[in-house]
Amino acid sequence: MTKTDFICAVGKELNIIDTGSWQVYPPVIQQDKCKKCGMCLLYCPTNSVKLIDGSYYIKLDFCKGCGVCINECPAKAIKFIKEDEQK
Amino acid sequence: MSIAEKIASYEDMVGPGITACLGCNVELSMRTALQVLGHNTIVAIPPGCMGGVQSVGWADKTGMKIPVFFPLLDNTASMLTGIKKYYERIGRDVNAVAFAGDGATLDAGFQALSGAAERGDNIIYICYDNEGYMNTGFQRSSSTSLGSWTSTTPVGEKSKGKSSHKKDMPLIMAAHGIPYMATASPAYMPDLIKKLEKAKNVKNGLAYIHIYNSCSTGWGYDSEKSIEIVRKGVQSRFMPIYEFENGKYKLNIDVKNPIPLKDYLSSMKKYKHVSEEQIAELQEFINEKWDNLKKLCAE
Ligand SMILES: Cc1ncc(C[n+]2csc(CCOP(=O)(O)OP(=O)(O)O)c2C)c(N)n1
Ligand code: SF4
Ligand code: SF4
Repeated sequence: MTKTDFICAVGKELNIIDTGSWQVYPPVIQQDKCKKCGMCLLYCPTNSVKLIDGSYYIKLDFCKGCGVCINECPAKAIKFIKEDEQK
Repeated sequence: MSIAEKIASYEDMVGPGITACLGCNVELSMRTALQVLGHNTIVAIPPGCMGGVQSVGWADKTGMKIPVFFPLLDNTASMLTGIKKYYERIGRDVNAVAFAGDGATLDAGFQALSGAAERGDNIIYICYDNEGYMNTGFQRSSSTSLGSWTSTTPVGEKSKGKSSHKKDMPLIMAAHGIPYMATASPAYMPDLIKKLEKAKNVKNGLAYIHIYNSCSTGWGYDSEKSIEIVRKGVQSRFMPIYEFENGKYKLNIDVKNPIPLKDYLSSMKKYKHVSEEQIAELQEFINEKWDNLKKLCAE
């Protein structure tokens, strides 16, 4: 947790809800189609899109599966992976 | 550095799992605002969706990595002012930030906010405007627009949604003569981020940012449309993006060729029932506001 030196208490620990369990299908960025514009990162409400060494990836732990990233990606590079594709 | 790279380099101050609805652009706005405002920040979130999603914590746990507290629906600005005064007294510069809904801002907490603005208290007040009391079941607020379905402005034989227009809170705040007032949209991130940076640098009074958000659950649209909807709101001139800085108005997004208002209205259940007369009345209201804004910006 971030170091703080305020008068206000910051609580004993962070209250974390397992919002990843809300996902119906996991969204995945197809790296070959990605133009690296970063729109998915800017618009993801849960801050689940990460920039690692110049490439964008979705970290699924807290992703709610809302589909905003899919709708906003100008390159149509993101899609939900359905069960039959997961194997 | 691109704007996405810049945001990626900032720490997220909100806990990773909060219970906002799928695709909620208020969650997005809150995360972005606090990423920009940074670690040296104390946050006040009154009752409403953002308090309810546990960003203020639960039992003895917190929802953020920075101090956050839960004022009443009606005293957010005054409580925050008190905290800011303490820090001023001990000589420490801290961002005292409110993140409050339209009900908490335009209705219940209005006089506390107006008082803080008039006194020149150095707080940053961000209103997330989802046009109603969404957390308690989508009741109308004074920010709900004409014709909207809400649980207290039903649609049926006797009532056709809300019968009065939306209160023009951004102009009311500018009329207080505060050093900085801006409207913004989560669909226009570079603009929103620039405005947060400006608000952070205001040291001589209150900075007010009015974010035009939406609500998938209360307005009735699919979660993935969350950004598309508010973008349409801006592009139809329904949500004018401008700022008021040191006495001067500036239009930040000049919508030269607006999309038909119907395109915006028809994308959600909230306006499914609206009649041609209501659309015409809304259009007239929007045109008047836009013309007035153009005049203010030309001065
Ligand atoms: C004085 C008072 N009246 C009523 C309530 C109940 N209440 C809790 S949250 C809420 C809705 C707040 O609406 P808004 O500020 O628009 O935020 P949103 O729910 O849209 O996020 C209400 C009415 C309260 N907490 N305090
Ligand atoms: S929005 Fe699409 S193209 Fe842009 S970085 Fe994300 S996945 Fe790549
Ligand atoms: S589906 Fe929603 S929560 Fe998941 S990465 Fe995309 S925008 Fe973020």
